[in-house]
Amino acid sequence: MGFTDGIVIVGCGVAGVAAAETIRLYDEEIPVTVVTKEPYPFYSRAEITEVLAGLKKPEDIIIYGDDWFRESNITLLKGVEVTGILTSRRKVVLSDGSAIKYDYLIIASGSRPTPLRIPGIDMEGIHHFQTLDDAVAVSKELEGSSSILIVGGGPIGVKVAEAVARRGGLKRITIVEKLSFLLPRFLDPECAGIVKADMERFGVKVETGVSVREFRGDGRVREALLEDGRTLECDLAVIAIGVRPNLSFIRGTGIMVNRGILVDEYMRTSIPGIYAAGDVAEFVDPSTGKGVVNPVWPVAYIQGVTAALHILGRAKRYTGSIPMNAMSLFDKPLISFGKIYPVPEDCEEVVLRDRGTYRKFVVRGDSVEGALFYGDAKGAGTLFTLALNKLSVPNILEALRMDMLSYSYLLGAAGLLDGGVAGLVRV
Amino acid sequence: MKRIFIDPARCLGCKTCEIACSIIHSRSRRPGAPILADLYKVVLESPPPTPRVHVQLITNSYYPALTMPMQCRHCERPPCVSACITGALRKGSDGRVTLMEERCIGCWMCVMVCPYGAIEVKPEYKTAVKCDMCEGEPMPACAASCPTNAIIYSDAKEFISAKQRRISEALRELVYVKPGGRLIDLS
Repeated sequence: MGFTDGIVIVGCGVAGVAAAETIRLYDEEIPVTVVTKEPYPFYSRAEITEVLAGLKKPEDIIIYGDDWFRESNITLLKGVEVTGILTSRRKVVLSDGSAIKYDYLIIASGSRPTPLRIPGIDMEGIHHFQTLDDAVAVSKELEGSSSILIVGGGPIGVKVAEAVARRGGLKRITIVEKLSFLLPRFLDPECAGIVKADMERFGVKVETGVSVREFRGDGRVREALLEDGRTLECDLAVIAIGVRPNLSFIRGTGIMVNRGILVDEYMRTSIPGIYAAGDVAEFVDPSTGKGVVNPVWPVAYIQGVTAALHILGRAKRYTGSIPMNAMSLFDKPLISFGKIYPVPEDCEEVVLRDRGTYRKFVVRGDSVEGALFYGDAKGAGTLFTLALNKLSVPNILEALRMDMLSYSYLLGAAGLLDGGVAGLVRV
Repeated sequence: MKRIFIDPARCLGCKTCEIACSIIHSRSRRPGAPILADLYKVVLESPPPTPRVHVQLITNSYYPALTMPMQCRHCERPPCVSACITGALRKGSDGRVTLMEERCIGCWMCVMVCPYGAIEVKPEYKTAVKCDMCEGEPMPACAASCPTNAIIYSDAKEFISAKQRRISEALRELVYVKPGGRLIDLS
C-alpha cells in the first residue's frame, strides 16, 4: 500500500484523534494531517460544562495539546474549515483557499446544534452549546445575568442547567422541554420525575410538555413566550434541542448521505478512499439494512479506530452499538442504554426503587434489552456487556429482581465462568 | 509483567482482601506500615475508605465455588480507557490501567462499559474508584492478604499453563467478540 500524500482527517474530536492515534500506533511514517475549524487542539467536548460551572479553565480540558501532535508527527491545522472535497483529484479545499491532497480521507467532522427556527432567535444572549468557545462565551455572559433559559431537556440541556446551578449566582434557571418528560431518549416518565424533583431541589425549574414560541427583547433577549401563552423572563438563553451530523461541505461530492454519511462496517463511505466516523457517520447495519447515527463518545472512538485499521490493512469489523449515555447529575450517577421507554410488547421490565434511586431493567426472554440506573450504578457495566452482545443468562429476570447484578453472579448463571482462573471465561 | 489472578475454588468469601484494599488506599495509612497498624485511624476516616476489590457471589449449581473476589482485570484493550471522556483513564506501558483522579469528573462512561463492574461510583469521592494494582507497593494488598491464596500475584507467562492460556483466549472471545464474530471491544 503506497502512501504519497498521506491521510487527511477532518475534525479534531474523539473520532478523528482516535483514528490519528491508531495510525501512529502502527506506522510512524505515513503523513497525517488533522484539520479542525476550532482554535484548540484535542479537548474533551463533554467537559465544556465543567468550564461553564467554573470548575475548570479551558486549558484544563485539553486532552492532547499541540505538543502531543508535534511529538506524534501529526500536522494539526487549527482554525481552518474544510469547504469542499474534490473526490476525483483526491483533494480537500480549505477555507483559507489552500488545498491538501490525500490518499485517504477520514471525515470526522462531528455534529452541529440543531437550529431552533423561531422569531427572535438571532438576538444577543442566545447561544448554542457545542464548543469550548460556546462555553467560554456563555460563562462570560453569566456574570451580570440574573436568569437563564435552557431550551431542550436532553443531555446537553440538563448538564448546562446543572453547571449553571453549581456555579451559582443566578436567580432563575429554567429548562423547557417540548416532550412530556426530561431526557426522553434515555429515561422513562417515572425516573424523569425523580430527576426533575432532584434538579428543582438544586434550583433548576423544569417545564415539560411546552415549547418556546418566540424570544422577545430589545436587541438583547429579555423574555421568552411559551406555546401556552406564558412568558418567562430571561437575559440569557441556551438552545440545546439536539445535534445533527455536520455535512455542510459534503454537498456535491457524491458521497452518499442520509441523516449522516452512510458508512459500512469498516467506516467506508460510498467513495473509495473516503471514510467517515463519529457523530457525522450513519452506520448501516448489514443485518438489518437500517442506518443509525449514535453520537456518543465511546462509539465515536471505536469508529475512528475502525476507519484507521482498515486503511492500515488491519481491518476489524465494526458491528454496531446500542443507544447509550452516562452522566452525573448533582452527584448522582445516571446510566442508560438500550430500549427503556416505551417497553417493547414482548419484553418484561423489572423496576427497583430505593430512597432517591431508580433502576429499571428491560428483558426479552433471557437477554437484556436495556437498563436504566439513576442514583446507583452498581452492575451497569455487566448488564451493558450482556445487552451489547445479546448474551443470554438463564432466569435473568429472577436475578435482576433480587438485585444480583454482579459479573460473577450473572456469568456464573450463564455457565460462562470457568474453574481454575476466574475472570477467565469459557464461551 | 505481573498480573492479579483469581482462583475462585479457594475463595472462602472472608473479605480480608476488601479490608486490606481499603486500608492500603486510605489516607491515614503510613506508607510502608504493616496493613493492620493503622486500622483504627483508617475506620474513622471520612469519607470512609473504600475497597477496589469486591467479593461476589457466584450462582451455578455445578461450579465448585460460591464466592470470588473481583477487581479490575487491567484489560489488554480496556473499554473504559476508550470510553473515558477526559483522558483520566490510561493504559500504561507496564500494563496497568490507571485513573488520574485529578482529571476524572465522574461522568461514569467507564462504569457503563466495564464488563466486570470493576469501576465504581462513590459519590463521596466525586471520581471513579478502581484498582491501581497497589502502585508503589511490592505486591497488591488483596493478594498479599488473602489467607487461602485465592488471589495470586504472578507473572502472566509463568502462571498461565497451556490449558489456561486456551481459556484466556476464550475470555478474549467472549469479552471482545460476540457469538458470530461481533466486536464489542471499544479500544
